Amino acid sequence: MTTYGLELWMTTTAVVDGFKMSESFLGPRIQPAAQFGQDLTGTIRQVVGALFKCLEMHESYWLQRTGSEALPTFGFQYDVALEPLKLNMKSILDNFRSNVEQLVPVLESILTPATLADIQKMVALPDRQFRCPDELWVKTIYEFAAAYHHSAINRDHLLQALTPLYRARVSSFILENAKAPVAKLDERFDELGQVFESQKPYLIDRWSAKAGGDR
Amino acid sequence: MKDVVLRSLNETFGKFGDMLLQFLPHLLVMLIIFVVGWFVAIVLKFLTRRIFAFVSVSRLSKDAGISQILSKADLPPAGELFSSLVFWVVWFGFLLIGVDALGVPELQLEVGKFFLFLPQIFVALLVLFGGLLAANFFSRAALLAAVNANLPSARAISGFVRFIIILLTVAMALEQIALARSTVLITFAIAFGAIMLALAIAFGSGGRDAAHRMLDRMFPPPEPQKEERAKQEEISPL
Repeated sequence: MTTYGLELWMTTTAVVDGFKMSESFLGPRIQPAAQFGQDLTGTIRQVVGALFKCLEMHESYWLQRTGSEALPTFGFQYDVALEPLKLNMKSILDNFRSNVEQLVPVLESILTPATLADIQKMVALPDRQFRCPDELWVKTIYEFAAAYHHSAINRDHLLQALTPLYRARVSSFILENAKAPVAKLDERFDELGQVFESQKPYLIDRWSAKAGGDR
Repeated sequence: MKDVVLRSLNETFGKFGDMLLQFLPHLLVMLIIFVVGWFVAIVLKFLTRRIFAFVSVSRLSKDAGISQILSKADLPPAGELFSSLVFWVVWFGFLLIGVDALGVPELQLEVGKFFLFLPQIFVALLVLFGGLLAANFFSRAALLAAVNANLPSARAISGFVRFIIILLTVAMALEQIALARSTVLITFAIAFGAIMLALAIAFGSGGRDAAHRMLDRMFPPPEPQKEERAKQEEISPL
């Protein structure tokens, strides 16, 4: 298991086994030098692959749960200063448009026609109006998770197909919050978490459906 | 005169009756073999379907993209298709045994030849099936790798990988059933050689700049400007 996989496994196992949970502010995450320069696809394969694997391992736990609880927090809360980042959004968005067009045959095996149609509509948006709404992103991730569970296609291929969509989501987030303060970003993450929570029945629905049965 | 005609008619009908009496049991045996064969084929089809369900063939075929191809071609899923194939092969085999039971020497010879040929057809079909699986798997892997590396014409690369594997598979299957063996071999060698030569020429003459860019990307010069530009075009995962 990779570092990312180990972290996810430890966290989810602690939750499932009923350990006391809490949060603490540890400052900026320091990455080992060896992990710098690692490609995005490789990282997604590790992180999302581990996450989906943990979902499968603990399905009997999370399938029956609803709602969420706030965790107690320890230590001083402080904002993390972010270094300004220059990104060539035009190049990233152009690559995304081209990638989605090329990947349609693969995405057809993973996503529902409605979600794929929404993604294709997003492809047609001009650069300035480019947005990947929270609902669409959450549905996409849930459909990928269900497709992973049902082995709709080779699992490694499935994880690789997520990379262009992740790039689009991050680009949209940057365009939307380019000038937002850090506190505002935290609010946005909370909102996204709530969308994930409110759409959980959709995940359960797709997870429990027979493989490809209701596509 | 009248007696001769009557006797001749009598003899002819008598011979015909004898032949019919000799032939009818064979015909009956043939019909029984047909019916028994049909039942055996149905049972084997059912067993094959169960075995395929047990070893999750549908999952494997989905995994390799075979299910998509079959559904696009309006064909049933892989397990259903293979069990139907088993049904028809077995029943066809019984039909031939039934025809053989008629005792017509010419037919018996042809039936014998067919049975000698049957294993080769089976192996050729397996080679085709395996080749199709490999072609889909590797073409999808090539597509994803090319897309994620932002290479232009990712679909063309993927299609090329699929074409080469299918070409190789068809050549192997035809070689297996010994159909125009030397023609197939020569055609494959010429086609494969021509494709590789065309690619080499195209890359050498038209793709000089692309080769330069690829080499630049693979072995980037340690200039700060280039690193900065690369950073701007990619989202860091960390």
